[in-house]
Amino acid sequence: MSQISPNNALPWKIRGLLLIRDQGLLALFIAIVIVFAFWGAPYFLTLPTGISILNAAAIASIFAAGVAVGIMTGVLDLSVPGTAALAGVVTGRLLQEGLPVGLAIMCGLLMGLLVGVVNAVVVLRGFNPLIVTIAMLSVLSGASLLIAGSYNISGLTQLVFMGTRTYFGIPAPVYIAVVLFVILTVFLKFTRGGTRLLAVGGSAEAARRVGIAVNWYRILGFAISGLCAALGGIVTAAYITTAVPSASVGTVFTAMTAVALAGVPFVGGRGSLPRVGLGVIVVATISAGLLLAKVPADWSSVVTGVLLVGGLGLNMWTTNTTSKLLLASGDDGAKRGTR
Amino acid sequence: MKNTRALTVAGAALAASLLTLPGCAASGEAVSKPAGSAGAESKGEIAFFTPSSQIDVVAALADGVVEYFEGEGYTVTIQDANFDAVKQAQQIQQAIDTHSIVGAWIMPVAPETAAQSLATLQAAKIPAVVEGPPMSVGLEGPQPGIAFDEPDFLKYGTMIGDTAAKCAVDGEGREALFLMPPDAAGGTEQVIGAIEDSFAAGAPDVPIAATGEAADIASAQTTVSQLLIANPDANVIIAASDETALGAAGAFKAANKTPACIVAGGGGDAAVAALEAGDITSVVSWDYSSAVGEAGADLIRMISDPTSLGGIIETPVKATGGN
Repeated sequence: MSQISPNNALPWKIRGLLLIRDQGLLALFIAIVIVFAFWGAPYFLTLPTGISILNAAAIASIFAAGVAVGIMTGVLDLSVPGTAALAGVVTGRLLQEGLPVGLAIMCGLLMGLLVGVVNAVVVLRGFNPLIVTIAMLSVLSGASLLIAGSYNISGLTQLVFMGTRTYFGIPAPVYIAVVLFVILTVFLKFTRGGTRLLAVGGSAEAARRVGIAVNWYRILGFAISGLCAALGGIVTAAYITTAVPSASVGTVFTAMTAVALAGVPFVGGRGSLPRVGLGVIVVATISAGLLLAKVPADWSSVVTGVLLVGGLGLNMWTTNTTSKLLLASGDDGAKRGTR
Repeated sequence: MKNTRALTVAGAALAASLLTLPGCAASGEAVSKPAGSAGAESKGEIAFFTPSSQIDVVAALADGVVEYFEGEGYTVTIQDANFDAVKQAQQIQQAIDTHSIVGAWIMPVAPETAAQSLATLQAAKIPAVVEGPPMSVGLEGPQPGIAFDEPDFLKYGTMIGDTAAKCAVDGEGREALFLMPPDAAGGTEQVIGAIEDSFAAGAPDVPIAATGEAADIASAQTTVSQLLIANPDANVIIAASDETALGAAGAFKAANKTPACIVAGGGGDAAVAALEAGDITSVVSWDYSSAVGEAGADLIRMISDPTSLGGIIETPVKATGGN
């Protein structure tokens, strides 16, 4: 057995690359805050702006959490906007029908869970997950419009408690996002189920060989994704007290940007949810910063797209370079061992 | 194998639940449009080609078209292009090829790309009503078999600006926020220019402090919340779409502030409901319902004589609400 380097320590270059991969996003966030502190002065670096950014990020982060868990499981769930629209509309319609708020919300969440499970079951039959989730997006978009009669379901003031209401000065969606992220992070990092879920995402075949029930974990991944999408849809409906039946494809784009920025590889197997949360905050910060700096809104979209490609590029570069350096270090160690 | 079979059964059960739950949610109320409810004595089918049924105003126009033609003994199908100009051209071509329609009502996704479809309709002797002026589809003046429902964008923008200005002056407006949708639909530039000019002329002491862009209610609410932080004196909202107006209303509520006025350009059901609830001050909208009757009568006339010249009907603009 050859050691990679003495004392089990990784070479400084590799440690540096891993630091960039793991903490680069935090550095980017700090840099963005500093830039906008001057550019968007005097309004950017204020508590109300911070809370507003957190609020905007909270809703997007709920979607991002679902997309991230899907990706970590090895699947990009593109049906998220449709699931969100359906969950919002179902909840809205049930509230209109006079159902208790809690029950209506539970039904909306159940819809998301069901969508996730149906997606998974179809994918397990051997269909391409991308095609399945795109098809599901189409089905759900139509279903939402049918249920809503093509019109927004407005006046959902029963949901204000989880939309615009603040608790201790912090808007409700922020609490919901934090609770969701804590639960999912604990699950992924500290439970056997979470570890197995990531193992299935990393290599389904390897997981199968060690006796993990791969199919059930893939269903679980899709179910979590669907549940998060439904929660996001309901929180969005609560935020604007209106359930909009049209699927907002932009939500997936923002979520994917955050996931890419967080360094979650799109091939699955690993990733950090707190970093996904930070990724969403970065996107929301840029959007708010450009708005307060009076930059035309189209630039926000351009910057977000550039960030998406940049995040993916950085992730690919650090991963590839680290692998090469590790291989080179291994070779050196082996050579030293044979001397 | 056992697992796979179990999964299939579970999947089928869940799919069934998925399909039935929304049905339960919507019980007791029709959820689909009445389009296409063909009667045996139908005089023929009219297709309404829409850019997207998800726009409230367009959905309202579609309802108006359905109501009018069903009243006249025709059936109506609504074809949604989902903002895809190519898809819309294919839908029109398909309707022509299958000889399934006797007339068409077209709201083009991209007017400049609709010229070919109109030429094909003319050649097939299928008359049409087009939402937009002849110039928008590369034509000049009246055309055989085509009627134009012509919106006057300048008048529309001016009415939004004037309404907002009057409201700002009467309601002691301090600063205004101007909100726009991100799309570049036909006439957007003219509408925006007219709004800015008429507002500046009508309320010279109320500057437009900032502009924002948002596609949907949620992002509009977030945008306005952030603009209110940077412009705390802003109490007048000029919104060029229903979505931005509704988002602005939500942002003011969330900030516990009362706007002097929120003027919306649009007129979909949600905006009208917000107007009735007092969340929006005024709504300026195309009065499609007035235009539908005139344009519809012209289409029926052309169905009996597809080579006759179609009319050019101006879409009226109306302002609802006020201080």
